[in-house]
Amino acid sequence: MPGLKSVDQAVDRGAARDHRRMLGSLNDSEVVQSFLDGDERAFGELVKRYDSRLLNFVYRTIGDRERGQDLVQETFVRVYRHLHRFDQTKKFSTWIYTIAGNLAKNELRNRSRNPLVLFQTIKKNWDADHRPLEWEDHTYRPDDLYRKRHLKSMVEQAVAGLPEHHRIVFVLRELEGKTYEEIADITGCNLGTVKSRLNRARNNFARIVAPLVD
Amino acid sequence: MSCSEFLSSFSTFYDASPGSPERGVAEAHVSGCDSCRRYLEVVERGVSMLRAMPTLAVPANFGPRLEHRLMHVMEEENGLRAETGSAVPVVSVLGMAILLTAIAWTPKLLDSTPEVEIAPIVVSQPPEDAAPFGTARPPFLLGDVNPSPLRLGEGLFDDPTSLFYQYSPLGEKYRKSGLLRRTGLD
Repeated sequence: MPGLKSVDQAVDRGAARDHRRMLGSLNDSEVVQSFLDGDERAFGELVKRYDSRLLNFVYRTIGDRERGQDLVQETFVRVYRHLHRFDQTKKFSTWIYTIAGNLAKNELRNRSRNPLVLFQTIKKNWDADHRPLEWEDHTYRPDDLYRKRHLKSMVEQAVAGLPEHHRIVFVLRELEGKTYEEIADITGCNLGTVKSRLNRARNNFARIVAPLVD
Repeated sequence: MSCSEFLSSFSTFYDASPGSPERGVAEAHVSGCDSCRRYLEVVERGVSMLRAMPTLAVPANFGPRLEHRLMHVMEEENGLRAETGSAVPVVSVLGMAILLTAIAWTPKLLDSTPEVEIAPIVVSQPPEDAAPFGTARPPFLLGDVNPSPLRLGEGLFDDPTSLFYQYSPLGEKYRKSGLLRRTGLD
């Protein structure tokens, strides 16, 4: 009977909606546990929570939108495969960002296989780490109107122009709001290295965006 | 605090909690240094501009593409589990190997051929009705054209004309040469 069928469908939809709402109210650890207990929908909740954040993090790190989507998909596939081995005493967020960060780093490393590109990257990174920290006072100038109009692309270029190991730390701190300890876990560096790289990243960023700030 | 110290420890006080000693020292320096104050302002405003920029939206096909990939992952895992979990193919192959081996070795294992001991036959003289030796005419008989058939019982060397003959058609020729072995037939 069509009427009953539509009622059944409405009931099913309602139950699914309630279930999704229930999952949305859980924290990451509880959602992970639900998935490990057999609730397949719990994985969908994890995807919903992290897809946009990971996409922006990977995009800012590698600078390629399409490839960023592929890497985020690969991140979720790896999470799906290995979630049963995840140490639930640790933060899920740190774990998933570590996977995405490693994939982004591998992507950048693969791009620099060309010897010339590799040399330029090494030189750029060395200069960025060893150049003395300096600052010149840039005041607003009329010829910077062009730059003002292209603010968005200039700011994006400022981030993209950072050396890779500075960029990852800068994006994780300024855009993803990660703590120093989380950044250290995600990047596999110690706290001192994280602070040093972040300091240099901010210095480089400031030198590039200073003309845009009035 | 000098300007270079301010720059080198910028992140330490910038990320410190409000009211912390590091922040206090840096704020004291900034209040008296225009250049470092400008630096702080540039970093703060630059980061706020960055955060205000629109974020990338997740494309509509992201979810379906991921579902499709995960389906393949699940199929792959189920396939692996089936291969490693089921012992039926291994057992059947082993069983067939044992059966074929048994079929191949059964005649030897179940060999029921009777063994009969036959007493040896001792021959001291040829049977009476045996065909005489030498009745077939040799192809290149020389000397005596119609030799008498040799009887085994009469002694092998009693009739030299019937025993020693040349097989080679060239025997006549070689008979005249010094290499020919004398046989007593000429």
